[in-house]
Amino acid sequence: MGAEAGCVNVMDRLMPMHLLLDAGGRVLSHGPTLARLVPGGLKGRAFLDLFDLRSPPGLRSAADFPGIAGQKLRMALRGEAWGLRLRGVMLPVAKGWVVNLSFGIDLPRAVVLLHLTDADFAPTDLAMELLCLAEANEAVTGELRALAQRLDGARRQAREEAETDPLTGLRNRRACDSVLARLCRDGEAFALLHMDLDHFKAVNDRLGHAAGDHVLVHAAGVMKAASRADDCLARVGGDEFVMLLPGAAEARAVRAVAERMIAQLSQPIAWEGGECRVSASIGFALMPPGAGADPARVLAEADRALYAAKNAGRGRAVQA
Amino acid sequence: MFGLLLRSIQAYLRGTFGPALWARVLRAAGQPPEGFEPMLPYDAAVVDRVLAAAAQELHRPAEAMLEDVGTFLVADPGHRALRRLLRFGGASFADFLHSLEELPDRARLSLPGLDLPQIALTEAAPGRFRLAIASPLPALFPVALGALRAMADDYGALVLIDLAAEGDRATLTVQLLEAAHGAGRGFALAGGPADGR
Repeated sequence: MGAEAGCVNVMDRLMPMHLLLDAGGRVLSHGPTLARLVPGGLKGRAFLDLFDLRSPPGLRSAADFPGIAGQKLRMALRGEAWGLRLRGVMLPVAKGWVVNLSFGIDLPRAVVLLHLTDADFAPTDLAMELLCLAEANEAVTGELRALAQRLDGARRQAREEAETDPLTGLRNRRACDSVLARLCRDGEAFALLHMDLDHFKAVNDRLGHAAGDHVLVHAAGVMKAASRADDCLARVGGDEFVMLLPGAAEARAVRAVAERMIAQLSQPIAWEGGECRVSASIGFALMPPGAGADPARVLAEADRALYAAKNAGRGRAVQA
Repeated sequence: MFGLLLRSIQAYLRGTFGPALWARVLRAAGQPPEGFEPMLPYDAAVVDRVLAAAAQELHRPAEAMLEDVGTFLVADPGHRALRRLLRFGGASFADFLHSLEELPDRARLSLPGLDLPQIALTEAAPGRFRLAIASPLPALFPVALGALRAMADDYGALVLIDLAAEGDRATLTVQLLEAAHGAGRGFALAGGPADGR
């Protein structure tokens, strides 16, 4: 092995992405990793024909090389489709120039596109560390994202459970209070219906709690069928329900909803071969838009109307 | 570290023996049914209780199970990330062993605050390595043994590995009999579908 050949081996191992140029700027030899980038080979071609030098600018011929010696070069291979950016440095040697290149921050892309391996980098190169770090970060971020999703799921479930009446699946008093407070605060028009089942205690006493529960679930179904998607339906006590109808401004329409539910709940409810008979009384209050209502007052008004409905013989709806 | 270990045990037991067995282990260990989060802190006593419950459920010593946990973490296709991160350590199994000394520092770069046990490697003679590990969590030692065995397979290397543990210190003796015994699994820097085939 001649001295020159030995020197090339040294250069290939130390700088697998180097170019050796003659004084005129033509490629004499190059490192093995560059061969992957230019499958046709680089030997004999002019450096400035091969590469587009983006910085420093204004390089026209090899005569300009002394002006950029030692500076950081930003460049790309001409006609290369992936847009891999290269960085490099050029220095004079005995009868020409040596240029050393690296992929810089485009390393991970270059590895994918060119199928590079450990052997394509100098043993002193930090490429492996950078690639490993990128993958480790991806793994850690993935774990954190998964954790955030699991916690968010648990949070939603906890809130759902805290606001739901387990028997009927309707909302509970807490949820109803918070929706009512929001409607009052927003000054939107809404209607509040306070419903109480008639003769419910008799069903419970005569047929047992299972029958009572069956009636409550049935009542919830009647409410759901009579309401729209964004209405709030809540069971707020034993056989007491509240419906909040956002946007409802017409007394006739609200009364129609109330009377439809009363009519349905007055029908016998099948239970274990027999039937349960209940009915419902409803007091309702309408809040005009921008009223700035006090939640407690709205509830009290509907409550008074419900009391009036019970006193007037049950099975009816009374407006506050 | 406790969270990572508990999560690993969870992944192994659930993945190998099914969710029903894992649910019984959690119940016996007095832990909530949702299991463990790798990034959350846990008490050392929780690890002990889970190990005791798992040993009873599987009718085998906790150490043997922990060794399988280590193998599972490297070899299970669902845990590709760890195997890949370890393979970045070197092109050969011997290279990889040397990289283990850097493991805690590599881990800290990605997850500051993660304290992996310090590992010191000595190459007593060509092909004979001694790994000294110190950790306040001795359950990690058999996990390391299982993971090392699986990594040797991954590189296609034929090795003999012994573990001698005492308190919070352990020595793993690795004898590299043949560096290229089997085919090993491929490793492409870029990952992708061809990796690990």
